Amino acid sequence: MRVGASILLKNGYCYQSYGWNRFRPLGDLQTAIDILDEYEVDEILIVRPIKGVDSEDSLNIDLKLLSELKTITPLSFGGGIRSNSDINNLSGLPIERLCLSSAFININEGFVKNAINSFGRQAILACLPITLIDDVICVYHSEANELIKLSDEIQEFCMQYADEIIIIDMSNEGNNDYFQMDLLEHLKIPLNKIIITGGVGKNIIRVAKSTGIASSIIENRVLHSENSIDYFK
Amino acid sequence: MIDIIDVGCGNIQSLTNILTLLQVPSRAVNSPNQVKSNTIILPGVGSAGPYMDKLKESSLDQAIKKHHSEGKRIIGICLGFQLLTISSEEDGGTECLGLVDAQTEKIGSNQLRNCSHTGWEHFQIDTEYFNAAECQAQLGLTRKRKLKGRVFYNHEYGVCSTSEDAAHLEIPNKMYAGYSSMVVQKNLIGIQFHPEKSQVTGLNLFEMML
Repeated sequence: MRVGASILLKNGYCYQSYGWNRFRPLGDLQTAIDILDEYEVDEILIVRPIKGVDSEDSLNIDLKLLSELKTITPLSFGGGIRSNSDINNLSGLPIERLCLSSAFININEGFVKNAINSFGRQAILACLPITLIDDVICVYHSEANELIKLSDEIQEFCMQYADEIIIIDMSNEGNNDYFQMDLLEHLKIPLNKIIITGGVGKNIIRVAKSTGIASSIIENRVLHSENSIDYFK
Repeated sequence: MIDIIDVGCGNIQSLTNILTLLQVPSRAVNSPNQVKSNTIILPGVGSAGPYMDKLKESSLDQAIKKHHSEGKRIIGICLGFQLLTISSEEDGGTECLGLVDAQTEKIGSNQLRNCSHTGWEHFQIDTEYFNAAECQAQLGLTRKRKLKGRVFYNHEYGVCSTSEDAAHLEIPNKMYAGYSSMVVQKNLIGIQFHPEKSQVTGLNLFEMML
């Protein structure tokens, strides 16, 4: 199982967050990436935490920053990629994998196929921020800024077009070892196609390893030396 | 100087970054008359059909073949490696450059649907491997003879090489037996993993190859 780290990025700055509601600035993206390179994390996920309408200016600031990024660790990027021109703007960037959320929740086949043409299917990740409400699995639809029921149809679409599916435990994002493994029992996605994040800590990684999950992504607590990747591995 | 083929696909910047770390000058080229250096790199993030279409539209496919016929160095990475073969099963069947006597096939096509290979694998090589295929480093960046480490794979199609003229390394994982990790054939080097994103091992491999 791979063990990676995630960084939230917005308007050119990176953040540590708790439940995607409280943000704590972490400063410069390149500095954060340099630290993760040094720790030799297996992969880095850079996510723009977009709620509702995204600003083109904000996306452009973040893409410019990405284009200047220097790293020798595999990078995945997502957040606010919603149009074919956004996909075109990603070409040449130092990213190996593209993370899409609204496109999968909207079952937007044409858009996802366009992304596959540009990046290859092996590079496409579906991102599903989920939570359990009254025993029903709900997914956060970022474009609409609302929680909706995670239907079988959405899951089937993800399985058809995404190489792996990132499952974010929305309620526990930023907390140590609080990821609810029970959430996975409500999904119809094989564990070897799942990347978990949101409350991932050492104990969760130990459990995830034993279940055959593809990857665990630790939120950016891994930037602190006392929580370096060796400790988590 | 190293020319990196740029048709609007692929992580060009990742290659530029690692070559800059090694203090090797490089440039992205998008037309045949720009291809002038002794070594070209065909980078690899994308899909075989659209990538080959763009190579043909820009006539870069002919420039790459001419570069090869002149005995100059070509390094294909991931999809770039697969495009050096005769054909790929991707996108309903894609005719490729045909510079390596091999086919590119869907991984585990008879097993689970959407089977792919994403992750890190052990990697080990020594200079004898390159010497056996008559492929010598040209820039002398290192005296290292042996390299051991880990490399990052992300692919859903794999190269099945049968060429007797080439030196092969298989992916060292039983699940992907029969698929090439690396093929070297004189001036051609095909790499299935991403050395530009394989941290220290990737850096050291570039030093040995270049």
